[in-house]
Amino acid sequence: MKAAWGILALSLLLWVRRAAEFALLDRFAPAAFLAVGMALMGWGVVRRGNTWRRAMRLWGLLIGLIGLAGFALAIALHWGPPVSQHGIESLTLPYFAASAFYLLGGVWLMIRPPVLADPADAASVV
Amino acid sequence: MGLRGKLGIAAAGLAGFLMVAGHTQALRATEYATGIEAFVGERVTTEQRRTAAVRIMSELAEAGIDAKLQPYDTGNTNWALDLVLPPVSGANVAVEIPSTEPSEQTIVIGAHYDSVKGSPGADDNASGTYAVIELAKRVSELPVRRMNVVFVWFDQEEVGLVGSKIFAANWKASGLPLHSMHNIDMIGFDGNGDGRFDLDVPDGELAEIYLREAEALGIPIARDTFNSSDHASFRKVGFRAVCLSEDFSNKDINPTYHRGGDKTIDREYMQSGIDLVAAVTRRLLEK
Ligand SMILES: [Zn+2]
Repeated sequence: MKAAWGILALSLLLWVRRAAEFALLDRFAPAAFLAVGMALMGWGVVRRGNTWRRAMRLWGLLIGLIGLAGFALAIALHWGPPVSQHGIESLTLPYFAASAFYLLGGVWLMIRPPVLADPADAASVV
Repeated sequence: MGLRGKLGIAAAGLAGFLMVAGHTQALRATEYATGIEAFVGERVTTEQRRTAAVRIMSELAEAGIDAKLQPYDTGNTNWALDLVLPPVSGANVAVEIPSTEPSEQTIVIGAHYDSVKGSPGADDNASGTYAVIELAKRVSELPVRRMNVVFVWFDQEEVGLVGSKIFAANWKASGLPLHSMHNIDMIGFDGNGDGRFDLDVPDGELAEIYLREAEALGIPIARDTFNSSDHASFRKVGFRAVCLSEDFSNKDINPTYHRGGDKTIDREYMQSGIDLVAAVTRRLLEK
């Protein structure tokens, strides 16, 4: 499933960008989030098979939750008291596009994780 | 690749493009206004705050003082928000009036120019904003300045002293010495007409000078301590900092504080506050 690889690549790319953007401001929560993603990826690549699929589903769950949080925050900022002008001004098309991508992409990764060739299959070919 | 795959990649590409495009914000031209009225009116949105910042610079430019915008980006108030929201953006306005003879030392005089939502912020803090503009003009005309003076108008005080924290942290990181910081926040209301100000000043030389100059000008002073304004950002990194405000400690506080009714300024009272800081500054610069 090529779409799953696309989602995985773009989600990682977006998090590399966010992690770098905030790291420059001495803020490391996005970098920590990315590190969790990379650890999952490494774990999946080493163990393959079910572990890879599980790692992908976990990453899907994590970014799906980020997407969900994006929408929940938008609802709170729109209908709640005007607590954060910065938050309100952040509710732009790119914000919603990213939230939708994380939510849908996350669900996609959970349902159809990208397929990584199993070492067992590779061994049987040789 | 199947249709779904192509659609997925196209959607992903679009999402990426939109995220990048959203970060480029155009700076819009602003309507021109002068005098203290130029600073009364809600200064909450990025555009409102930028308009105020441009007006501060225009006011100073008329007096031949070339202040600059100091834009900044910083993290959100809560670290978890960094996972979802973009960084917080703002801009201080600052200008240095250099000493008339070589000096390593600098005095910082500042006020926040933003307001809270739903309030025109006349007393809080168009009064301080205007006062610091006035002080910059006066100091630039002094024949002798034995120290540099930096005038700064802080952004986003009302959302957590954001602009002043950045300014103070940058100063600290530069390693440059800072003689003292003088903050002016809310000097436009005197309900009981006694002309008294609240003064949060560290004991010692600075307190002595302030009290002496206040006495000479016939201005009553109430000593107080509070950390709710921009001077606290300087104290936090170890600098001496002072704040002049209306008479909080005697409960002579603007009843329209942070409300829609904060539209007027007691000019006479404000002028006496400006005179006090001007006298203190002159004294410090003569030494
Ligand atoms: Zn204020």
